[in-house]
Amino acid sequence: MRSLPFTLLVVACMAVLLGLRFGLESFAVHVAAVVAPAASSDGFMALPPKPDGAERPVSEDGGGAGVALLTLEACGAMAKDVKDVCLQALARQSAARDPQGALQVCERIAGTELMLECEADVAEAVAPIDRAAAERICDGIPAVKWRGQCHFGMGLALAELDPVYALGRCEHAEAFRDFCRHDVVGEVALEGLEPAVTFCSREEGDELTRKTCWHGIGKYLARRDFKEAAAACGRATDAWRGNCFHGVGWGAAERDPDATLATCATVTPYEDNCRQGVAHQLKRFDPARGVALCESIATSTIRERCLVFLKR
Amino acid sequence: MRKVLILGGSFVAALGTGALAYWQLRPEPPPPVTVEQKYEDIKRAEYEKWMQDLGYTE
Repeated sequence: MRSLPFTLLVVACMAVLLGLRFGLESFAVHVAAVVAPAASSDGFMALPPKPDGAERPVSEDGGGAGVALLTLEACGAMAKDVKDVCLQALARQSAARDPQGALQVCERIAGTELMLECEADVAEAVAPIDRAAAERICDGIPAVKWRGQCHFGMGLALAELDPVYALGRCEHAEAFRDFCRHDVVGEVALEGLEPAVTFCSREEGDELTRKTCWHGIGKYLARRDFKEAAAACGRATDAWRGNCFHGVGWGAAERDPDATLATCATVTPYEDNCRQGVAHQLKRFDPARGVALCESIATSTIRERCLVFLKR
Repeated sequence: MRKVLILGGSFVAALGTGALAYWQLRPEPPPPVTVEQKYEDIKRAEYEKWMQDLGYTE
């Protein structure tokens, strides 16, 4: 009894400690519940599908019935190996106006890879309308590869509307990060060069990340106009200007390799980088000609790299 | 002696409670690496070859 106050003190301390421990646990659970992602339907309004009998697009050949839109019934009637592709196209067709419905169509696809690609396609279609919903779709894809592809697609879809946001999506593109940066900055450059140059001038990442950024600008602009692309490459960082002109050669060669080779001669001292780009592009369709072009390159280091690529 | 034992026992109990709380409230360990996550671990040189093949760099 003489030690009763002390005993009571010990009990009180234990009670405080235990209360603190369980209280912290409850608080952590509550915080986790508050920051959990919202339900997929939050903040999103689906546009209603067109009612039956609504005007359908007319085919270019002027045929009477016009182009029929895909339906679940039509896809269901197709052969097994075509059905999944049909469902993917159906989902893409309706994604912008009814993303939840489109995702449900994706879930009907039997093949896992195609189903995940379908979900990425839906997000890409939704992105210009509701980027938050598109982000949730992407983040919900369990496979790393398709989740990255999804964010890549969002970047491409929004390159014209919001270049800064679009380029930021590439940080979520997983293994496709540098591919995304290349293509999105190229699309951005087509709309306006300054944001693209500003982005690549940050010189972020390692050597590959930096040089492929400028390559994207050169390649995409060259698809439209060689001189415009060459002028843009003039603004590239010195170390990566050659790679930019490689992109110019590749991009322009997609339209006309012969004309591009003639124009490459005008971009001294980067004509060999340009010719290398043409040769690399030719590997797909005319590898023998690509090898011959590599062998004609004057600069030995570029010639060697060109031949290594063409012959591997 | 009895008080020392009670104090000591209380101290040990408090430590044990704190350790139990940390164990239960600690951040989740990262999930095991899957085949798909290794997709991201492609060596940089191979990654550059991949980009070259698809026309993304020289």
